[in-house]
Amino acid sequence: MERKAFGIDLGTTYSAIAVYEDGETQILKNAEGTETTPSVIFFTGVTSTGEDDLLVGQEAKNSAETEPNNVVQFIKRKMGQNGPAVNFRAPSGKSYTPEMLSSFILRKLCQDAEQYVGEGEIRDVVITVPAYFDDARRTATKQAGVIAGLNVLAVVNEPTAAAIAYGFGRDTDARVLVYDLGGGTFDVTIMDIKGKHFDTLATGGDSMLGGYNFDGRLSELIQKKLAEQGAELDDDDDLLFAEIREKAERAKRMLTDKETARLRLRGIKQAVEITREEFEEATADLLKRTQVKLEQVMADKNITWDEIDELLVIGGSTRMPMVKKMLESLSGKQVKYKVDPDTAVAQGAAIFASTFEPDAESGEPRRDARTANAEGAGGALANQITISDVTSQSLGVVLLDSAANRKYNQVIIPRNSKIPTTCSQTAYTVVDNQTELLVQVTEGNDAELEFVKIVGESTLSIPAYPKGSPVEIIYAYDPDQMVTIEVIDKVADKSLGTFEVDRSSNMSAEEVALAAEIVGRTNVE
Amino acid sequence: MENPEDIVKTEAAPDDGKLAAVENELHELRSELTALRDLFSRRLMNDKQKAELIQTLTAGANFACIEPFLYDLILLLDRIDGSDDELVQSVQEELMEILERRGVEKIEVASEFDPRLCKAVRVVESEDAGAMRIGGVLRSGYTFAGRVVRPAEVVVIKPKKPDEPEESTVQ
Repeated sequence: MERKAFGIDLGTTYSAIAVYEDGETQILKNAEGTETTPSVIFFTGVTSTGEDDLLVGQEAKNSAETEPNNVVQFIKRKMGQNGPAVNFRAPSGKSYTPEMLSSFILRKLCQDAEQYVGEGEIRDVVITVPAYFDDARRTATKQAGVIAGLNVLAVVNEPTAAAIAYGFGRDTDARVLVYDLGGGTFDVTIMDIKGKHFDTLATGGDSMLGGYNFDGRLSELIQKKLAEQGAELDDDDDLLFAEIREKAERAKRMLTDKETARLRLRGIKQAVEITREEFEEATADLLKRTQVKLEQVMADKNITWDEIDELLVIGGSTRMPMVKKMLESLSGKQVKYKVDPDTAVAQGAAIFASTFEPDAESGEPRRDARTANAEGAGGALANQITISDVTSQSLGVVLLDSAANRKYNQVIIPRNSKIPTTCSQTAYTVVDNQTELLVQVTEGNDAELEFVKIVGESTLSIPAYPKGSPVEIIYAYDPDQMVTIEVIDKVADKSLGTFEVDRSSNMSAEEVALAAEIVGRTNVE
Repeated sequence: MENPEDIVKTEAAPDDGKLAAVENELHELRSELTALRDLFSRRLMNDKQKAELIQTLTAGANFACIEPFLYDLILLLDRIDGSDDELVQSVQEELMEILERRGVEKIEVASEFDPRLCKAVRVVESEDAGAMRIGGVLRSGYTFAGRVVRPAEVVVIKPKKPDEPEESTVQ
């Protein structure tokens, strides 16, 4: 069998895997027969050899209540962080990093999918990440794949993958706004699609807003209505509240097609009637948050609605009519559901992954993974998909305002800058005969240091000059999302040194290798 | 005029060039036949794989279409489950029979907790419990065509542990 490459949507709440074959994408189902697998892990116990035994997916979810301390979920929110606060201590006493935990989800997805494609067949993969992920979180995602024993061909932005699912094979030439309202997060991205070239112009989002918030509001509305109807709700009745939440989620779906949803609860005679208008009123502020974010992303790049050709919606929550209504009213354009909102990301990743597969005739690789994100890759790759991204976070440097004797953040590479990019900033020594420069690299937009993150630093030597001598700090962001910093002594016009942002929050190569050994010994079901 | 004997001679002993051409043609035909046989086998295998795939996709599509409807009926069954009213009980039985005729089955909960078919929604600790066992069913579970539509929601009795150290979670 020809070696295939697969696309994986590694989600906060659910994950999916797909393959592109004979011009069709296929979502590979899990052992339970469903297209998406809950991103949940449950540590069931310890084997006689001291290894952890664990369940991943629906069975893990079903077991969660039996040992809440042995359940891990929402791992994606911890990617790219390290330390005891984010690591999970399992029953065996072993400590698992978010990368290792994510690798268990990847293993489960691949193991189950191999039922369809053959044991050991899934090795080469493309994994998707939110567009707002910084390079630390992208690296962590890639490492999760390596720990799972996979060859990660590329890490691709989720909206880009969705755009590929939409644009591939259509010979599209359009500027597309991708509105992604998932279960737990919201993202908006503007991109240009020209044939097989997918060029991201701007991106933004809210990692704490998703369908879950809308369900919560609907649950509150149901409770309010029940109280108005005289029903007495016992605050300690966790089963009743779980039922309300479950029925709220179903009512939300019902209100997609109908103006009114009626729902009933066990032990309560009164039916609760919710109109779409009431639901929309109760969640108007949530929707407004997506609108504000969307307009902010457009304003960042001075893009007007006239310049947007297509609206692409993904994420299950975009089925709510209010989303369509808002987007159409803002843009004056029609929202057409051209991709499956639930599986478009995995499908796009699978299409992109397929471009890495060896040529059927020669067996030679058709593309080099390192060129995957190179802007405008042409020549031999002219018929391939090419992706061009923007930086998701601003990168800056800590400078001293001598007059105010206050440190502040000076942005050097603004958010949404095209990758690769090089930007520089001139700074000045602050005392006479200064012999060292502390270069602290920041991530974030704000001038106040308490609102930005220090992601790397290095101390460089400088010849003793008078106070106010200029140095140029150059930041280079390469297609692999690595950041290199060079400092130039402007007096002598020579380099003082170069360093890479060595993300201390990422695992080292040795740690990854060790983690792969531990994960490889662990039984995943 | 040609001598008939010469003609016979010519026909009986064709020259080497013609023989080689015939052999060549025969070889080509054999190769073509082998290629066709190979293509036929591959197409046959392909058809078989496609038939299996269509079967899987059809089953999946059927499940995807019917699952939301079944789930709503299951929620209705929840409300009338355990009713003392005879009429309600009779309606419940009839509804369950209709569903069973269409391939829906109530999950028979075993004594031990099985996360493939059950979901723990409440846990009770007991010093007597050996393995994790079922202490009661709070909402019945159902399968359709062998796939779980909803797991049975159960109370799990688990062995009481000695004092546990606090553990950090990634949640």
